[in-house]
Amino acid sequence: MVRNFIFLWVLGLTLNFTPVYAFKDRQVTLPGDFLVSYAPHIFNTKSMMAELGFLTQKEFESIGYNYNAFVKLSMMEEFYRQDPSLRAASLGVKGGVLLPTQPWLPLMLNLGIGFSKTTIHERPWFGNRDKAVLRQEMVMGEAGLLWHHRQRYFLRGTYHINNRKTFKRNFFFSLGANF
Amino acid sequence: LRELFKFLLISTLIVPRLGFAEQREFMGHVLEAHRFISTSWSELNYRVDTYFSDETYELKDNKSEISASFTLLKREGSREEHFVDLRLKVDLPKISRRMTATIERERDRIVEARSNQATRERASQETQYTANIDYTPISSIWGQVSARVGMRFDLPLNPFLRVTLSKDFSFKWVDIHLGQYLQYYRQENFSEYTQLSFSRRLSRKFALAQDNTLSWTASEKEFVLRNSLTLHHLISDRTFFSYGVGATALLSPSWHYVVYDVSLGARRKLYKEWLFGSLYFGGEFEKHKNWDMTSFALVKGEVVF
Repeated sequence: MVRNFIFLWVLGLTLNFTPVYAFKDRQVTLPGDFLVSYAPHIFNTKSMMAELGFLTQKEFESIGYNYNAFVKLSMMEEFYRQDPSLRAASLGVKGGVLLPTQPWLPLMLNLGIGFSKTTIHERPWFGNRDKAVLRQEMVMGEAGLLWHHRQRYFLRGTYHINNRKTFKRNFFFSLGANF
Repeated sequence: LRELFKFLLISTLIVPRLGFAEQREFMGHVLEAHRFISTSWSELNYRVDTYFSDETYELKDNKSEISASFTLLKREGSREEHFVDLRLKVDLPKISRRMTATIERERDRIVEARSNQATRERASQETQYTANIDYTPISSIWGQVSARVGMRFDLPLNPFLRVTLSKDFSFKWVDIHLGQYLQYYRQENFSEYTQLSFSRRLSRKFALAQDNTLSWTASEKEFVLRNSLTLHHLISDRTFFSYGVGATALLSPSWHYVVYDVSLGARRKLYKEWLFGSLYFGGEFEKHKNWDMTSFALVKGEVVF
């Protein structure tokens, strides 16, 4: 797990090696106000993640480097491995940044942290609270890469870590859009 | 947190024994620590808010605060109970506006409407964060109506709808408040209370309040009536006393009172506007205990950063 995380981190840093003056006066960030993404079961075996939030355009003024900051509502679900009839779900908020890597490459580094409420339940979203097997709070972090098409649609791969054992999946592949 | 309160308690015992110079130095350190925590927390939230929303405003308009309290409750015949409560109030007005939501930490108003001073402390621990996605206050000559739709920050999902209707009448000799509060939570189902309150300022230092609330919850499926009479006594700008009597009744199978209670309370600003102390003594007379008195004492210390 740690090795994978370090690999992604090093990859991100390597891609960011481009001199920052190359970014100056170029539209390399996502232009929209809102961000939506979905990681379906078909890409992520026995897991799902959906996120909805807003984006802002930011700049490191001293070096003229533009990037995006985001806050989003995050929903995650995973089949609970100890018992196939149960599912683990989380509802939380995440904040983070999208850092452009190369001015000529539509690839951004995604870094974020978040907090969520989690439950293990047969029907974690619409079930009765009293029937929950477990309810906990969770702190999470994510790092990954986002490939965008015409600065509107994107494909994203992220590596997740959290402080709970209920969510075992680390890699998520998601599709999304900003508008 | 408990250690912090021990430190404060010990400090209050030790500080008077110090010389004037040492006292000033000690209080200087305390003030500096308080200012540091308070400013850091507001600044952190202000920076997060302005960073993600890309909008600026005055730092002093950010209402983020930390409050910590330690309560000791002793009831006759049962072990003493401690409640340590740390509340982080996160104020992100610009982010909230962009999400078209207000995010608040709320108390259970139904439980509080039924409580006396001893049980209110327990009830106030039951707080939850909610994201309210709609809020529409309407004011007319018939009174005020407000509706709120939202979601408790919890799983399984717990959306809610709340409606509050209220009307105040001011007469020369009494102020009357009429209120109707209705709420529906997907998890807890329907609950409501009706309130009729009378209040009168007797003098500059005394005010009298008489409250009547009739509440109903789907989980208990019974009406609970609470009547209380409280005399508020302002001793000084820093000290406030209250003397109260109350009674709680059930309406099924017929109207019968189940608890009577009396209490005497004092609340004082111990230091500036951020260190408070409260002390309550009282007794409950419960029907299932043959109306024998169960006395209680409650001590509470509260720090606001």
